[in-house]
Amino acid sequence: MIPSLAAGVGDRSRLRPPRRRAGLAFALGLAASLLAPAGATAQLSISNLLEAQSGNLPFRTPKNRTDLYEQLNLDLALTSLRFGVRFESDQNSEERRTYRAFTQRYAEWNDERLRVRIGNFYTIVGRGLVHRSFELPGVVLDKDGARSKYSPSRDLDGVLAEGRAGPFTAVLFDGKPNGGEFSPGLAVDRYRGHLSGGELSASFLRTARAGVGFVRSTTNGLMHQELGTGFAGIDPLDALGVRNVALPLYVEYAQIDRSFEEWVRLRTSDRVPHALYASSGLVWGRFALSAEWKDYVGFRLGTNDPPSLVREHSWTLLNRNTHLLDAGGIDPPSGESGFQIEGSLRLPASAALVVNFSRSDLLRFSPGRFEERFVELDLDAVAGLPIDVSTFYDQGEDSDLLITERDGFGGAATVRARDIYSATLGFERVNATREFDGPFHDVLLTGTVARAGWGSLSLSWERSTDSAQEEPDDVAPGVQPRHFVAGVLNAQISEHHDLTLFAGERRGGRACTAGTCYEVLPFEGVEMRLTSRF
Amino acid sequence: MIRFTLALLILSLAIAGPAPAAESPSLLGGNRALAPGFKVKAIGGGTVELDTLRAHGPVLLDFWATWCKPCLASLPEIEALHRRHRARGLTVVGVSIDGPRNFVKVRPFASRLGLSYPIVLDEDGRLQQNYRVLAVPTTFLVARDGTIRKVQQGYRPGDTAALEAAIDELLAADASQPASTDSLGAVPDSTAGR
Repeated sequence: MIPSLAAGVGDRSRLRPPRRRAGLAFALGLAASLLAPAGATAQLSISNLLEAQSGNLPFRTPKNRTDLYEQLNLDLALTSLRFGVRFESDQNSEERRTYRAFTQRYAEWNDERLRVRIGNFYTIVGRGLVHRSFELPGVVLDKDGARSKYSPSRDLDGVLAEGRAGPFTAVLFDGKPNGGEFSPGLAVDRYRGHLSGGELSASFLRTARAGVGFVRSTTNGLMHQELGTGFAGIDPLDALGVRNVALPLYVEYAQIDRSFEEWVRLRTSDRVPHALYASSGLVWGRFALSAEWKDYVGFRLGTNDPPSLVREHSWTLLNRNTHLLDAGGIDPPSGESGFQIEGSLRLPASAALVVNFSRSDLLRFSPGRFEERFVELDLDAVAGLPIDVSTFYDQGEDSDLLITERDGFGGAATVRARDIYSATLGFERVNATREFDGPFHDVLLTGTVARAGWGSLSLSWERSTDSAQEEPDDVAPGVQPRHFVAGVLNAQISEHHDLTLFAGERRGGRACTAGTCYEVLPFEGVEMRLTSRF
Repeated sequence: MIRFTLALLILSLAIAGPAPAAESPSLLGGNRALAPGFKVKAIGGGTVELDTLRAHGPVLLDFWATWCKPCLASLPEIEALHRRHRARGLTVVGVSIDGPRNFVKVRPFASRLGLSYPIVLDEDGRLQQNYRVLAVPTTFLVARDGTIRKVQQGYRPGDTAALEAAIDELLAADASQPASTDSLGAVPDSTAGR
């Protein structure tokens, strides 16, 4: 249970006091830089993200809400030393869950062999089966029911040390994890539990690497978990001196709360919480192939990020339908196992073909399956003309989304003129059948004109017969289609500033960026986003 | 809060005014910010270190990802810049910000687009954080003195022309100066299998 989600500014006092000293720490760092001996290099970098919204969530109150979110990052580099703070703020017309706070701060010392960081940091053990801390730069989230904008960050607040000696690399860390689920405006301690661990690895034979990792997790001071992992990666052809064909191989196996003797048995029974990930690739001339396998049971930890083996689509409608990996709970055991194979071929005349097949068997209370087949063809400079064309076809099913069958197709064509002007027309359609609901379809049409160095203007129209998008007050029989119309202006207004203006209605739903999926709230109104960098 | 934000905006726009005449980096670098150093492994083997690379000439650092649609269009143009200017001293480094979900696809993706310059994986997000990359593609042009001369966020067809003009300017300036005696380590090829 989350206490007092409706808390306002007055609840800020519950946040931990060290964050309030972040500004002071940074000021001391800045003073140190000004007092540094002549010749020492000092550099202050500033980046800022400002997002202003005026509008509402469709079919909800209030009907006119304004939001102003601000994220300011200050980084000061002094030869081997770095200091940084992040200031975040969200103000809204309802004056609920507003905040102004230093949400991150760090001090780092770095040289050829050693890096030590105190404060907020990100790291990864192996391929993320037992731990990965990360953020999604540029992503701003809001949540229905507890509205307060924030940047999702799954960082650790503590100490990180990395050392290198010859072929060996060691990483040690200790800190409190941020689940990245709550805005600083909520009266909830975002850094809960405790995590400590490390990784020891060795590199050899140019591209080979092997290592072990360990993570100890404590939640609420009561529940302890110990995770162990071992990994190895090698390109045997590279090791043999073959340079014109690449065959990278990687395997990693992890267990929870088991002894080393049990770990080396590499058990994959449903009764043993485990994570097995393996991948291989083949790059040979114009042909490239990647293949991955997964077997995860009881590895939904909140502080890890195992590879999902699900294609991350850049096509809007497919991206929204991405299968979300659930690495599973322990009691009752749940998880996923499956594979993904993707092949690509560079064709003559700047064309490329991509084919992907992925499948997951879902170990749940009621077992299910995710499956997807995808093909994409990209053609550049069609018939020698300044026209680029890209088309796709996709087919699949996902029992987690109750989608029993789905197929989609679409494409985009870009015409270039006078080297600096371009126009793009895009079309996507997805037909799907949801269990208990029946068939529905989504259609998206986009048009964009752009000028190099200035920016672009896009218009989009989407039509959906998905019952989940239907107006709640609609009592007419059948599903009435919803229409979403929006315009986006993007402009590079100076060397330091980029501006994006959105006006219209945005459909909510799942979105995936950098391998991580999250929920975007529906919105109608206007939105301005300004990113700055100095 | 609105007053605070307006003050911040005015301050930022003021800072973004005309570039300082001085070429040396200042505390607030403006157009002459220092590029954070790094030493990372390339996916084709070998190590890529910024300080070593820029001893040879300007470095073009391009942040991209396999899931980034505009990157599909921009990367072949970055490759063309690499081919046109590498003999004059330009080094291009691609930084993939793909997470573990897509690590295995980075090399096939680079092969599919015919990229021949070194590619590195930003596994723990350190490079992305140090360079404050908020969107992909974002490209940084780093001069031999370590200062960032141009930042290009996003991609529109034709954008690389402005990048190439800045590269030409730097290479012309470098040509009028004696070459550094620093040795350039073997720059690994990202697509050894091609």
